Amino acid sequence: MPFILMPLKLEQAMKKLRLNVSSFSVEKSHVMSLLLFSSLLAFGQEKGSLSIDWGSWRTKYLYPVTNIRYDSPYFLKNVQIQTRLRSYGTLFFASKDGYDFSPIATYRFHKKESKFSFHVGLGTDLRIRLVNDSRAHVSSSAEPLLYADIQYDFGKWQVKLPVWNRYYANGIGFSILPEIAVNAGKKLSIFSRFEANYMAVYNYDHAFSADVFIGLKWKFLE
Amino acid sequence: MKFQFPFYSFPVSMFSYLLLIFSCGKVPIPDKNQTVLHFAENFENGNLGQFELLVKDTTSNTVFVNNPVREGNLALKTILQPGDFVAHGYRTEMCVYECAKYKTEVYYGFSFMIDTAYKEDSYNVICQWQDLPNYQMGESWNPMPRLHGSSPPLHIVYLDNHIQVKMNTNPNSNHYNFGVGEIQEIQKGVWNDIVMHVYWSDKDDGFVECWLNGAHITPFNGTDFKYYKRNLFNRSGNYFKFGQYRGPEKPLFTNAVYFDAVKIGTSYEEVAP
Repeated sequence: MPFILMPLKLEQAMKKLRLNVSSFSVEKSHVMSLLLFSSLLAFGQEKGSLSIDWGSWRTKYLYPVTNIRYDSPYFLKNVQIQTRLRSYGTLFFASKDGYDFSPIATYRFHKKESKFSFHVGLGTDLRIRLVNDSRAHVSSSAEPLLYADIQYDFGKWQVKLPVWNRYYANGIGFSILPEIAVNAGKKLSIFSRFEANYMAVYNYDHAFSADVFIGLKWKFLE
Repeated sequence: MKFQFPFYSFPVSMFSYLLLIFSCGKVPIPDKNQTVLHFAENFENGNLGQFELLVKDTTSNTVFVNNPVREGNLALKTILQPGDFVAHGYRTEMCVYECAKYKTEVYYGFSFMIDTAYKEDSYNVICQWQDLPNYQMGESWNPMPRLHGSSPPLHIVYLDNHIQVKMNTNPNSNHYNFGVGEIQEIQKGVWNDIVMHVYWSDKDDGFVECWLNGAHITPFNGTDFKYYKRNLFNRSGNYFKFGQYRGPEKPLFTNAVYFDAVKIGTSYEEVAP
């Protein structure tokens, strides 16, 4: 049953079961553990691609954000793992403010040789907030997310249109992340990504936000 | 090439995924219709414990005086000297947090007096409602590099025997301030009562309405004296500061401004001095 059609009782039951993540404090050691675990899964592989990007427009004002992302090679024919680690408040990645850790497993519906491809996926979005400030009413949490994207490879150019659908305890969120990349050699490409986010609290309130990023992707050739 | 999983990755992944599913957080946008802070400080206790301070040295920058006073027996004398550089600017300010939340309607009242010996120099912000980081979106006070520097969305500026309510709707700049209503003449050595009525919003349904000594100084819009404009940069809300703020340019003189009867509430009667 799609989450969007989830009956109210089930939603309330989930709320009751919800673990109070805010009750434990996220220390640097937790972040390091996550980094090590993701590194083990990601960098322990032989191939794939690694990208880093910087930016953030925050719709109306600039705020520095850095992303590091690893896309695994396909295994089991059409399955891939994407792992993104986002740090807030810095263009140098090591942040004292917060991180988002988003591993997603995707399935590709087309052959590898096809220029056009469609993917669906399932993952989580772990929000780690490290701000130690009594004025900041914020806590760490994690949300499941559904993923879908279409991609087209023009040769020198690649276009990608992913959609993320997050599920919160009291609402839902959609993000559309169009990305355009241009090859700068066999291994290197330069890309730009726009992120538009829509978040809604059930029957209550909603908000839009947008960010812009520019980055480099390094492909480990198979 | 085969993808290599550590042997423990499956149980760890399944446990992690279940844990994550059942630990969903709330949507990272602040609630609307939050509670309004009720606050009153007339300095009769002779301390500033109710405030967060942006003051270089409380012994030289803040003094409790029994003359002049607006009400009771004591008032606060704020003193700004040329060397008082605190947090990216020259200032002596008292802060109140949690008092300008998203989608709340709040009244603020206080009295101020420009010292008779005040030497005119450049602008002096005597109160401001400054934006906060959007914590829920990962922000904090000190990003690196520092990019988000701007004038406060709402502030009152004193210069050369006049005050004006000013706003800024550009979070990326301090060059787009504009006045709300006419510049008002005031006298040094005389108490002035300010009441602000604000609906805080990140859209243009936000408004500000201001009284100086009981008379509206925001312009009449055909219906009332509310000036409608976005007054939040994000949904984290603003916070309130009063005192003296001169920006990054070093003041030439030491100057004093007195404050008394600082109040926050939900009606004009509750906060009016």
